[in-house]
Amino acid sequence: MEVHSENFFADGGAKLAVLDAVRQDYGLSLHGVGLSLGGADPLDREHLACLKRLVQRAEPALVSEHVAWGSAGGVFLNDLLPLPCTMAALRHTAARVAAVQDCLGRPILVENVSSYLQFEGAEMTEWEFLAGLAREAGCGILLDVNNIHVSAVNHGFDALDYLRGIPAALVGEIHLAGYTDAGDILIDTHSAPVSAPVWALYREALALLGTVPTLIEWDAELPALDRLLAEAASADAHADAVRRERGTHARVA
Amino acid sequence: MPGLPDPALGELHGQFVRAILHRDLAGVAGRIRVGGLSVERRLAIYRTNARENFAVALAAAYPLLHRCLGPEEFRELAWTYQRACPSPSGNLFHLGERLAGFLAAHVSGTGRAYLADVARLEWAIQESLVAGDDPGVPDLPALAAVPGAALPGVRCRLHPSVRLLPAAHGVFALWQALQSGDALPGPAPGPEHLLILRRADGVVVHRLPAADFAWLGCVRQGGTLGEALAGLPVEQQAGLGDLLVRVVGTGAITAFN
Repeated sequence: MEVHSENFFADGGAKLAVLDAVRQDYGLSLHGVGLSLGGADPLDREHLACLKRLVQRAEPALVSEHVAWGSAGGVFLNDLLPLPCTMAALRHTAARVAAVQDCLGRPILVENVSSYLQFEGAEMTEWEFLAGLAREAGCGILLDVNNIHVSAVNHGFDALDYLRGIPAALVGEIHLAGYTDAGDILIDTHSAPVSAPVWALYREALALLGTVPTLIEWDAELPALDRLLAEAASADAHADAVRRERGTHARVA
Repeated sequence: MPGLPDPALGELHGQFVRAILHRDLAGVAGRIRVGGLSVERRLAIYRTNARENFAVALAAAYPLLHRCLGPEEFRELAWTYQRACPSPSGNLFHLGERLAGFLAAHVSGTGRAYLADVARLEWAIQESLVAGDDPGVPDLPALAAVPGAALPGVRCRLHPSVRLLPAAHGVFALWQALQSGDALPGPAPGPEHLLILRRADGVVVHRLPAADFAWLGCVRQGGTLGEALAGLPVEQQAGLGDLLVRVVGTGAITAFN
């Protein structure tokens, strides 16, 4: 079971009680959206303390955040904003990821985000940035295959190059989701079924990465539960197909 | 050193934020690759995301205000408020904490001044929702066994979710209508004294008599039963027993010490 960490930062109340009950029967993954790992503001120690408290309470199997920034000068946009692919940004972000891991006392996974712009002055590709960040910070990678496709189409790079540039040993989880085609650009909306090209890319990812727990994100314009279950069954079917084709063992969570 | 600001990155991020919230593209425009789409088009996607995320989170925290204003006016209010009082945290919960004050500055002295009290009530509900737990149940037989001379020195422990709201306008009926799905009435004549707290089945709002509200306020500040009673008008001090029964009945008190 994966939940957004920030939704459970409360001191008490019904949400935490439900999380405790779920934790009795299921493994848990805490997926954060608000730590601004790539931000230039000082790390939000209050936010981090809330995360640490939640981690200690829920004892999750996985803790993850995004390779993104979200605030400047104390002003938060509450979005996952892209970083410039420079060595300075990589080192800056890696130091903050390491600080988070030190605070939590455990490694985290960092996730690639969809982007709708790139900054001038890039010194490396996004996948080089992601892999370099993970190596320097000593963290794992949560690879969002939909985000790779969205950014590949938006910026004109080859999604397979991205996949091939990610060290398989560092990938601890995969995300899938649906996007919205705005005509001139793809937007990561989590409001639609996983698209055919993303399923195809997922199969390539499984063939390259092997066994990786996979989560389908669908958190806007939710369909009926059986539609969601059908998406999960599709992920299972793709994983089974890859296993048969490649002799690998992909597991879908 | 981990966590310290990066000045160059900070400048870029500051320019980006100004472009999103205030359409000031002067700094950031030259630092974004165009590549087939204009910089403004690319930034507009992020602006839409930031605006929608904020408005949706704000509406979730302020369902009564959303209903009072209607979706369009609420959306406009959210955008105006977001630019004046941007989110102070990566946790969406906090973005609504300044809305009541912001709204009060705009509606004070108008026929819609009650909207500030609606916002205060809804923020108190939000705080109550996330407050700590306390499963305690007050031991009334033990309290009854306290010798009369010692009774004034007893203190009450209140549930952490207790919030006390003095409202200048009558907004309790609006909140009730929202719960029942009925048509919203207009604001009733004020003032009202509202107790907000979380029970097992959710947050509840009680409209209290002024004396109960004053007594509970003193108790919340750490006052003893006697100190709280002394703050009431003389003619109401004889009714401590009834007052205790009423307040205990709300669930606000979890222990007597």
